[in-house]
Amino acid sequence: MILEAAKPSWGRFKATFSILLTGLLISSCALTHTMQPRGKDLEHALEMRDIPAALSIAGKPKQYRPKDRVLYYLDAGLLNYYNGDWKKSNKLLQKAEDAIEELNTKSISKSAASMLLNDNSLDYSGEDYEDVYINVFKALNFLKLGDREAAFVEVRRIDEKLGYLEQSYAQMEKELHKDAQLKSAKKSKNTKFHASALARYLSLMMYESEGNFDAARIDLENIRYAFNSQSELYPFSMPELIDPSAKSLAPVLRVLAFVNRGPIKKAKEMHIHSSEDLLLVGSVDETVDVFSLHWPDIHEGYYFKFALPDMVERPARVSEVVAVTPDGSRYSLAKLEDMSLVARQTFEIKKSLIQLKSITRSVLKGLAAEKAQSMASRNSSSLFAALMMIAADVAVFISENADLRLAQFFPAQAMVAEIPLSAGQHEINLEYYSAAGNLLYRDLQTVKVQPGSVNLVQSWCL
Amino acid sequence: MKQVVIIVLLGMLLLLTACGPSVKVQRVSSDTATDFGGRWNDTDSRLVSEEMVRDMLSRPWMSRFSQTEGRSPVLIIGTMRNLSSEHIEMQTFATDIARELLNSGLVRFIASREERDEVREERSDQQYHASEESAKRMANEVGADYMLQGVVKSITDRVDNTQAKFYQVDLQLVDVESSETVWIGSKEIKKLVERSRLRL
Repeated sequence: MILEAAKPSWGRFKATFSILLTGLLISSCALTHTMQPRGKDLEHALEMRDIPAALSIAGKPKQYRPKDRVLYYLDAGLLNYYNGDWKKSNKLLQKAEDAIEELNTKSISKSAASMLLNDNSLDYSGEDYEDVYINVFKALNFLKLGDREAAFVEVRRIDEKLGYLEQSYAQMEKELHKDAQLKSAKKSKNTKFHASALARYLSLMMYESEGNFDAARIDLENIRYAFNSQSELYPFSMPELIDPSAKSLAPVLRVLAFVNRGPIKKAKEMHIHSSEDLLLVGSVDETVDVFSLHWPDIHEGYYFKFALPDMVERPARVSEVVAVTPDGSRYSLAKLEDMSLVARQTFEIKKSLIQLKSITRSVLKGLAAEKAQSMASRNSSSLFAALMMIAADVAVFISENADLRLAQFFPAQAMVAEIPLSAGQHEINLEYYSAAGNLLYRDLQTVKVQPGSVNLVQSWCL
Repeated sequence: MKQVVIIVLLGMLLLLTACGPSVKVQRVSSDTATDFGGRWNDTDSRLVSEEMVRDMLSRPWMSRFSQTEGRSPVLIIGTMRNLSSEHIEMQTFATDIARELLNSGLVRFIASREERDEVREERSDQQYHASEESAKRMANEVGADYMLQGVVKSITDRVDNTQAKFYQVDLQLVDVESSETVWIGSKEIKKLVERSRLRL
């Protein structure tokens, strides 16, 4: 009960107080909104490969709120990777990983605020794919720093995280099936992410470089398994890879290129209409999407609105990557991992839970606002009541915004090529082409190929 | 009105308690066991090296060597590999083992390859720049009888907020001349890390 009709003065005070409090919470913005540097300057700097400029934009004071520190560490960590500052990148990515681990513990106060307002009031704890790919980039940084043992540690951490994810997705699935309300709602996708071909490929390279060809062969089999057992994440052909246990004595130069930008989150407006014991939830954007949800004791005629985060792909700049060797041979790079697809599919798994939480919050807030409005109209002058009614509506709609936070600089795809080359120094030209066949960027790298080393060229074009 | 005053006072109290210093530093003895995140730490390194060196020095290879050679064996630490899923400072672990070996007084100990390189450079330098009496002789190093090699592995299992961490440290002592393994030791550590589900 928000108001007590028997005590009009106290009731009026409480109604005013609760509405003012809601207004205060919303106006404080720090709770319901988040910050992350965006804008044309940043996009332009990235397109021009001016990473120092991008870093200076991201590093400006107040670009990220303390609750968005994971985003800062991820964004700055990845920018430093692209900038070739491997040590700094690892330091920041380590901080991101530690913060994600720490934030796995639920904050009582923040959870309460998220139940009252929205998920933006929570500390950003990273999407599952971000947590996994942190270690991919840390491993690549360690390889650049010549620390193969530390790179191996990162690959093992990926295995551990994927093992845990598999368990927690199964648990989530179980809980969703247990929930009577969600039985009538939309089911989450039955996606599994238990093996990363990219992580296994890094492991293959490292095992091969230390002469452990049998372990490298097992990694090749694991890459095949990742493709075969996770068709939703790998709906494309596996690249043709040289069997490390059967290869000739000639060393292989491996090229790994990251292309395009990872997905973004967009707000999807959802509408709820109630009938007896039932909610009809739907969105009307490009497609009409409606489902019903059993909601005991709700009456007909309520209407609520809220926003859900939806993960969408960005337009791709790069369509083809070609590695050109000094003798003019051209090797097309093949897609090994669609990181953007992994991001979207793993996000889909959690979507049902986010949806249920948002619906519950919207309905409860909407009902409370409706109650406050009716009490205010009974106990106040008509002008005051009208103002209170508008304030309550605004409070509900504004506070119910979607959590659109996501690291900005993860690439969308990882492409690979394997080039048999003689030992020695070589110049490799990487050419990035758009879908229209225009050359977007040429990356010339000098690489020393030698047996017993991880002969890897790392490149990117976002 | 009374209720409002109570609410305001409680709110102020909450705000004031939140303003206290957030960092506290307390000096503790270096052998105090500190385990915050459940990761491999200095205490693990120290305890494992103490226990494994004690085990190694109490095995028959020691007495056999003393009987046949009539002197203490000379040891060198070889590669210590980290095959775990944590970044473990293996140099610290190797130093802990070296310290235990030396402090036992039962073996002699040779510096590592990197340390020897530095000493050799100094010795070479002395041949040109030091007086004849004080310059140390070339080719007079003590050769190691045995090399100690090791690996640290780990397995982590996690369900919700509980993590079981299992570390296994394997050491082996190899005869430098015959490549015969004379001792293998293994030490396991199991840690259960429970994170609180909730925080304020």
